[in-house]
Amino acid sequence: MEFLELVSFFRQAGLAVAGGSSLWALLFLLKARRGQGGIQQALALEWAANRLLLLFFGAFALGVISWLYIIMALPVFGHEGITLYPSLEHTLAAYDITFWGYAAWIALTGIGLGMYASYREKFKAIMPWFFAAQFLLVSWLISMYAWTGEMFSAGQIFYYFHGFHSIFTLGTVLTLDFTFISIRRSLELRRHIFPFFPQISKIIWIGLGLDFLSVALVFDEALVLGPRFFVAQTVVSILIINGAFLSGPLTRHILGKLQQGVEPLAGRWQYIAAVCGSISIISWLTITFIDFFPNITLSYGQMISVYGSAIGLAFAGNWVAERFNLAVAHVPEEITQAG
Amino acid sequence: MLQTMHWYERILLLSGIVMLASVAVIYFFEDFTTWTIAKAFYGFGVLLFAWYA
Repeated sequence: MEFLELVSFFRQAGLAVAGGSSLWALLFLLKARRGQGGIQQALALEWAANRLLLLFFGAFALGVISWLYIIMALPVFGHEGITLYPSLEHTLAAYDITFWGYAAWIALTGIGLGMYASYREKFKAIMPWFFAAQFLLVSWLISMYAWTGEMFSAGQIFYYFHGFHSIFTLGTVLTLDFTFISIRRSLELRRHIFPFFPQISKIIWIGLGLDFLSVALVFDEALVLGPRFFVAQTVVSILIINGAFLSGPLTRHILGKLQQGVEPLAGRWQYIAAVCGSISIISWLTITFIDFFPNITLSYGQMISVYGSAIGLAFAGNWVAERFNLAVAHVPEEITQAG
Repeated sequence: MLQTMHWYERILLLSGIVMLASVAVIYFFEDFTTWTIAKAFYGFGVLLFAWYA
């Protein structure tokens, strides 16, 4: 494992979460400001969008710091697995093209942070525009991690989709999990925000579909059998099985109980949600992670053991957070009063 | 929970199970054809779910 591969993963994760949080903050704000769902829903969605600012700024910091490190020490890549790994020439070309894009990202976010700190009411007025600009810019930066010189070649289109799909998958999954954790102690917030979770899940599946289609473009040259390939395919399979339960029966159960005004995650459902959530977040992190480490020397068994242990840790962490009431969301009084 | 699943969710679930089985097939028997078919089925399952969900 090379350190630069780890940094490259952090860049991708930072961009993916920045893109995902921008996208959903924008959509929450647009929905809130149309006011069609009533005052309580509008307040809840505004609260959620403001909460996603924290996630966005954290992801921005991770992405930019990683990018700065990478451009100072560009790596030589090799590859293994069902992904077309870019050559050094393609990687260098992409970093040349996107340099001013990253500079613009730093400037835009810096201005936004400054306004948030000093002119908060003005910043709130323009927040939808801020997130729209962020989503567009981050989408371009994450899609341009390699440049072949041909805008519409099969290989280049693979790079666009393979890069961008992380916003719809990893970025949206982490945004959804962050939002879920933020609102889990408030029945009021969950009543108004959770109904959007099926739409968010749909985007995740579209992202997975995008990656599946992109792989078809480069299949013959990208497919190399090895431990990484088998681990990735195993984890994707588990993701699909888990996702069928999580996006289907579990989500419907939660929505049904929330509509009745009853705590949805009681008894066995609490454990089911914790298990499904742990599998989801660790699986998405795993398949993104191993995509950036072509030279992993661990065996299939060793990698699957680490994966399983990570799921166990995530489940334990959730249990601790539940037991000690960590990450308790403060429900703004105006949301409960508006009801 | 299985009884409460919609038909497209069951197809998705089945595609995941088939995919997992095909990984075992390609690992132990190096049968690439099975995996290719499973991959196509999983892609179909995912896109179907995204459409109907």
